[in-house]
Amino acid sequence: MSWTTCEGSEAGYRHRASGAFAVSRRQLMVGVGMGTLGWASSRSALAGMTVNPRRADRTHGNVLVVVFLRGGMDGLSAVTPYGEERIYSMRPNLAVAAPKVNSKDSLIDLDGFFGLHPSLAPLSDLYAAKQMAVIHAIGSQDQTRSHFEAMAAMDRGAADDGLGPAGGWITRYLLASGQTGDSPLRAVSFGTVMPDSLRGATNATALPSLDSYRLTSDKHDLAELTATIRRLYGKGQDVASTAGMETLEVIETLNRLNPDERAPRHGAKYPTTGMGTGLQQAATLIRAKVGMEVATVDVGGWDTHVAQGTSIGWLPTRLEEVGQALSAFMQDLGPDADSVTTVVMSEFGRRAYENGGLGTDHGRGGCAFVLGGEVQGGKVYGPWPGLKPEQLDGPGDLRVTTDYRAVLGEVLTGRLGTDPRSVFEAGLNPLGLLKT
Amino acid sequence: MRGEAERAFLATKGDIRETLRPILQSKEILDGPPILRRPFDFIVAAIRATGAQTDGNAGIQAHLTAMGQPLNQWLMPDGYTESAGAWTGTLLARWNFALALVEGRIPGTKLSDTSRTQQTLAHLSQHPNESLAIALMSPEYQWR
Repeated sequence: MSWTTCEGSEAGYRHRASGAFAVSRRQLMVGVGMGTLGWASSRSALAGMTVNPRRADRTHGNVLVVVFLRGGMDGLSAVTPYGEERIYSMRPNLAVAAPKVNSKDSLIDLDGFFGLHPSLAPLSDLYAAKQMAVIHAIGSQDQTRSHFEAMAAMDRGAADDGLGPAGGWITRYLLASGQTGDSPLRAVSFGTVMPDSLRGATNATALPSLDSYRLTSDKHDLAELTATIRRLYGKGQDVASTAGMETLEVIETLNRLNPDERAPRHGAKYPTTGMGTGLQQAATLIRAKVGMEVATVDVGGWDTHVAQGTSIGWLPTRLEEVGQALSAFMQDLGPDADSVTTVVMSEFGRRAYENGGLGTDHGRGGCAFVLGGEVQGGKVYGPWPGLKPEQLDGPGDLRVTTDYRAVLGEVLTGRLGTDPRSVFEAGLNPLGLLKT
Repeated sequence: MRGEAERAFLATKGDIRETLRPILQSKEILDGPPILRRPFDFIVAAIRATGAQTDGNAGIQAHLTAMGQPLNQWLMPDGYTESAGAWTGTLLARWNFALALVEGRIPGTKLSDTSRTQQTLAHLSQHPNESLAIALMSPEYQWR
């Protein structure tokens, strides 16, 4: 991946496991032996899939989608503080011009101080409709400015890459809230590789495509095999038998999704990229109501040291993909967007000063987006630390004034009914991003 | 149980075997709940039962990873959990492993056709490999 090029080896990517953080797993044995038929009351209209009602009581069917922009997304380009003149002397070539009427090369005004990059134009309608919030100067406490350490901190849900919880933060969410009878698709990573936020998750699924969740055989008849497995698993009352029947249900549900059900709704047009495809498949699973609680999509290509571009070029193209994919996702979801919260984050922002190669180096504070029908959007959250030399961090970086875990924690509390202290070591004050 | 172990420890002046005896023979252990095979356990049991040969490398480890237990990747000092519920979400990966094993699709792993299990199955079934896959895929085989 692209960020390996600037750090050489993975030697810096080390985990310091700590025994201080104990995971408590509520091993609730309720529901064992009920089988899937016992939950007929909460069948989804689409596919006859059943959902554990106890889980639904906690999450109310809500879904968290985590989009991780890997490599350090330049938050000062995505959402530029044009109200602070200084940005134009710090980035004489890279800062996009302040908002101008009828110009495609200037920022789109958000609140009279911040402007959205023109390549993110598809998001401005969502912002105006208050379905998207921006959090600026957000990040971890990691001071190394190393992709590996900063990413490891965020994937682990730690303050920085020092001592702290081991394993992924989504894994801890799954363990803290898991119950027998949970869907095999509770956590889905849309891609071939499971992100480290799901490290140690024994029951998460990496799904390169919806078609990949199926039995694979080149010698046996799959229908016959499926019928045999159904007979074997249908007679038992143990947790393995119950889970086996649910797994068969999920396979059949996914197989039964015809092209029409997989197609985007409401005229949504996704870019044909990994991010577009990932979000489109997430929307399909959300509609299919297969019990998915957390979805992750990783997007690379953000390590823009050289020639990142101003209103056109490498970075604007990446931003354009993000804007189009998120906008299509929200359009596709339609009314379902009320049950979906999407967090777009990156391991750090980039230096406030442009470098000699017309790019930007690793920095600290960046920006994040939170989208959804229940988001109190149309606002840029987080105290603005300022760009004066004495306000900057280290070699000239935007200071971090909002802990990224405050955002994730608020979504866990407000949407997934889970105490964030069971996931992050710290209890952090919510920003008020969500409608209450 | 702890009291008995303590008494045995003191009476024998720290003989480990005598100290462990009351623990391992206790009602709590003998009548304890069944243990679901964790993926590593499942794969090793399947390899042994079928008399397959494996180099233990990437080919077979990919299956271990798909089942949720990438080799030596657990970061916490307590080891991969034994809770059954943590492992039942990846049964599909176990089924696909069983099929890949009998169909010879795991690089570095080869099924034996001379093992006792195979020979017995050959007498019982016209499709011994299929019977083998189904046995490995059964819910009963997921338990220790």
